[in-house]
Amino acid sequence: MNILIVDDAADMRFLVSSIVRRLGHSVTEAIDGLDALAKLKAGDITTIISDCNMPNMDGFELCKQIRQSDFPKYMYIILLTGLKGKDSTLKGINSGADDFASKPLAIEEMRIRLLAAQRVINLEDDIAKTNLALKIAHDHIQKDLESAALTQLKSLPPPLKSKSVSTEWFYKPAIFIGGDTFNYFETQTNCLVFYSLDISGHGISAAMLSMSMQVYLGLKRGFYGGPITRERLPEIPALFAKNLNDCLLNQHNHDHYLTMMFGIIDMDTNKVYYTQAGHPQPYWYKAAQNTIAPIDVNGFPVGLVPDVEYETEVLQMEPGDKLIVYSDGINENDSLINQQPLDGDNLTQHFEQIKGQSTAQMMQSIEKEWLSESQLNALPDDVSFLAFQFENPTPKKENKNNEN
Amino acid sequence: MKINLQQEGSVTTAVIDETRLDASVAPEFKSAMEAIITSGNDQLIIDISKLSFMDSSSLGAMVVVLKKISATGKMVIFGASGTVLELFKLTRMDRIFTLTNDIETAKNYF
Amino acid sequence: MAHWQITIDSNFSAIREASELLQEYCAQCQISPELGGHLELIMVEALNNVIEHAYQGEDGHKIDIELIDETQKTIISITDYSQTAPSLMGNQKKELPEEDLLPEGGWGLPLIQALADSIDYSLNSKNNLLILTKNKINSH
Repeated sequence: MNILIVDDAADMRFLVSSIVRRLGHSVTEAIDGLDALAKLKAGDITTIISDCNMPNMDGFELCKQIRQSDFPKYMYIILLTGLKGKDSTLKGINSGADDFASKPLAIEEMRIRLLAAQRVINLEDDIAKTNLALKIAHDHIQKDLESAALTQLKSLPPPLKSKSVSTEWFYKPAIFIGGDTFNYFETQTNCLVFYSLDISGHGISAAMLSMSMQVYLGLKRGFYGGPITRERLPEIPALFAKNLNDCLLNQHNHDHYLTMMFGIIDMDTNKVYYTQAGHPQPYWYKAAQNTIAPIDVNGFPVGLVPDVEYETEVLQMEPGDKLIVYSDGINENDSLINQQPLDGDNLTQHFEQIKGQSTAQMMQSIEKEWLSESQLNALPDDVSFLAFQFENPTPKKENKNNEN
Repeated sequence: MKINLQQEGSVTTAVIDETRLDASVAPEFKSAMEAIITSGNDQLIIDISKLSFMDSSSLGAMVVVLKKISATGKMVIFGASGTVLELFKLTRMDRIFTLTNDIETAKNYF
Repeated sequence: MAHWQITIDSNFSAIREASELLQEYCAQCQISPELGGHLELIMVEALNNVIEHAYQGEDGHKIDIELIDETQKTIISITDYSQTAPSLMGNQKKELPEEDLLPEGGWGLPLIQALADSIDYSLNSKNNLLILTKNKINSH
């Protein structure tokens, strides 16, 4: 070890140095605490043997300064105490000393104390190495997660602008990637299929299931029980929920369940056929009355209870109406506006304040006004909002052509 | 304890390759020298020129070695200086041991 | 005034270490090799004596060694914690063993007496303190 000997008495310094050298260590000497600090900054020293009483800076203050400093390695400090060592020992422990040796120096004792120092320093070295390895692994995972987060964001659909309906969304996962997801797509029959999902839990496992659902639900038309025709709209949402429930319960390789809002908008009429499965109650802004309120519907979460029945509900949307579907992640946050949890009546009041805004503005308000940046960077759960703005229902020309 | 042996005709030189002979090594020194004598080296120069310190317990070991070798052979001590030489003088054992500071003189004793 | 103080265990390797430390210290303090050699021999003989007589050859006991170097003299103090009265007690001169009888020991105390200018004791129920003084003027 490279050991720093700190003592204002040259005799003592020489004696300690001689003993320490004989024990096979290299030695640097300092005449007081100040000198010691300067030498610590310059050299690769791991252990300090210091006298207590010195001019300029004594041994106790030296201990404190070392403990307050940000040295790359742990400094092991042995204080040399006089015969009446008990007071100094207590003071030394308070100041951050690791060990004490009494004067006059005993060679054998010093040998043993330096062995203890070596053990601690080796241990600290091992910990530092382990921490470095962990940091590298952590940085690697973090980079992967950031890249995964980008992939997940790219899997979400761009805002839709059709003549009947337009969509906007806000999505922010708790840790890079989230268990929330949503999607929508238009059918050949001028319908807009949409769902908003919240996989139980959050983190990587929930996110992976969420991503696989994203792919699965789009392709697995079996869940729909047949083609999406206008006549079948009243039965599809409930059937979809039931089929998904059966499917999840038959997959025994994960413990997740999910809450969901699944719906199909008939853009010929702006009727919304939907089923609600444990998801928070969506908000409906009625333009004619200028009111906003949650829709009182309740269904079982999917993948939790076998053989439950789901209902298809129907809403008639009028031009200017808005429908806001969201996951329960927002409820766990306190509002930046009134410091109250964003759920229940408080959430309704918050929507009341922004009900006149466009859906795009609403998403901005949620992100910028309801939540602080620090909240957004440390969300307890994934937050997702999906908003629909309804215009005049507009049947597609191709349909008319077909009818003709 | 390091002792280097050099053979020149019938004379063996045992170079003590240490700087100190004291109570911590005296027993080892004694048995090493006894083994050297037992293995037939009884015309012996002990080169202690590297020693800077020697205590009376080592002197005792030297006497044991001298007694052992005297039955059949001869022993000369080469290179005692400073405090080491003083030890021989203060104890009057310089009268008992053959001491010399010249290696040629040492060889001429045989 | 230079001051040097250590504690060693009661074994011969520890004496060797103390002796080597003393040699380094004397060189550092520019004490002459002659005086340094004498001090070293006095100390080693006294320490050997403590182990052999005070501690009966037992390891694991403590011996404190202190050296104070003044302009006129150098003082070596040796403290042991045995109940045995020091064999150097009394002022009667210890004679050297008869060299013609080829002695294998018995030189320790006469050597100390020959090399030190004064030998003092301080005894109490807990420890024995041996104080060996070597004058720098008119010394050997």
